[in-house]
Amino acid sequence: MELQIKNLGKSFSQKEVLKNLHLEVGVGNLVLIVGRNGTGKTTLLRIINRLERPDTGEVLYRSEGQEKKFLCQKENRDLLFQRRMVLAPQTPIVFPGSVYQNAIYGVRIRRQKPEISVVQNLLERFDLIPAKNLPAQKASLGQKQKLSLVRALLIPCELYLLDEPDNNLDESGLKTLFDLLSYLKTRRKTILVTTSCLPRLAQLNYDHIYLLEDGKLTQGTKSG
Amino acid sequence: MNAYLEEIREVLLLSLGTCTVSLSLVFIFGLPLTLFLFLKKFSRKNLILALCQSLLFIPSVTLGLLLYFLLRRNGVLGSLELLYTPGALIIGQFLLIIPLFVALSYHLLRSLGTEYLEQVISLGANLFQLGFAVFRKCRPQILAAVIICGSRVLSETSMAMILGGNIKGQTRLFTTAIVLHTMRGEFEIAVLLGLVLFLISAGLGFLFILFQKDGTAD
Repeated sequence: MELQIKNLGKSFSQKEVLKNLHLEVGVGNLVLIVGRNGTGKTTLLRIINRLERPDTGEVLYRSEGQEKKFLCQKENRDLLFQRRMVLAPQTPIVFPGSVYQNAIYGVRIRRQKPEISVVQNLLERFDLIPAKNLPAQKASLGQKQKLSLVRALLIPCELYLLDEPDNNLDESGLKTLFDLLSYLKTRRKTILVTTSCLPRLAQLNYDHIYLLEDGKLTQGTKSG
Repeated sequence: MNAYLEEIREVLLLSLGTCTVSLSLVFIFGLPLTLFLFLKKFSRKNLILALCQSLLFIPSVTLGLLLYFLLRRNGVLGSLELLYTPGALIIGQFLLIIPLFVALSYHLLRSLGTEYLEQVISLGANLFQLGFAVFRKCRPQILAAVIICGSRVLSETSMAMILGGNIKGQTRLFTTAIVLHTMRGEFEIAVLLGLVLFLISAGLGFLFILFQKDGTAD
């Protein structure tokens, strides 16, 4: 999925979080957005995921091979459009049921059949097999974070929005995440990742990096 | 004695029947309505919420009177011929408890937080799946809210009298039957009916405590 964000603005209680923000993301691109806490990274992802409405500007979407022109949010309020993307929040949310049931929750919601081997593989790579049958509520914070990522990455969609996925992840979890995102890139999936700690995601194979500061995005380079 | 048992059976079936239907309707329509009110951002939302909350305190006799004027033969909905039928009782009960259910479940959603609901939406859920996800997460609390509503319905008298007319075997509920028999001086059957109603209410109270315990354990 291609994204075009134009003149995006959002305020909360008269505090301007995003100001006239512009961003273009191509199909199959992995974009990393870095910013301190409270700079609007989550708000940006929530607006893209249509959980929040912008005060000004718009977000335009175009699916590869499906649309000739970009579609704006207002024109596409249907569920199928919403299902083209998924957001993994910075604070992991777990649902009632086991770790395994939580992992396949998103796939089930979209009325698709989970491929058991793929689920097993992802759980194994994130070291969640020992906790597979345990109630998800009882999992540790790190396991919940991994579970939240597994649940999002298992969903076949065009745009993945990962909000500070490095939170609570151990080194092996981070490495697995990098590998999976690189794999998704090869499948021409578009990925937006935010972080407040660049060194932790320095090994990520991103295409573009932006610094979000004072409500605006500044493009950076891989070297710095 | 057989006549008493027959009357108790009739009243029990009718009371529980109308109560079950109105509670089911409240659950089916109330949860999506609450989700809509909770998640949607629109102007005058606070006004609608305030209106819902003020309806909590509407005297049932006033609501009954209002519905009477709507349902009577020359009323706006008179052609439906619902007055003095179980249908009229169900409509009245539904309107009486829906503000209560919405207020209780709205409070519940606030304590649950938007993050949980937004994660379900982000995963691609429709309104029905969202309602189901909320029910799964807060089953004890939602069932407790349903019980509170059920208790209000079972103890309501004046509206049932106005809309149902207290017709034997058709619209006579526990409360209206007890009033009638007491006024006639038929205290034996009145006490028996009162006792059965008390046992049902105590049962509901017990279930409420059970669900509350489940909710805190969760």
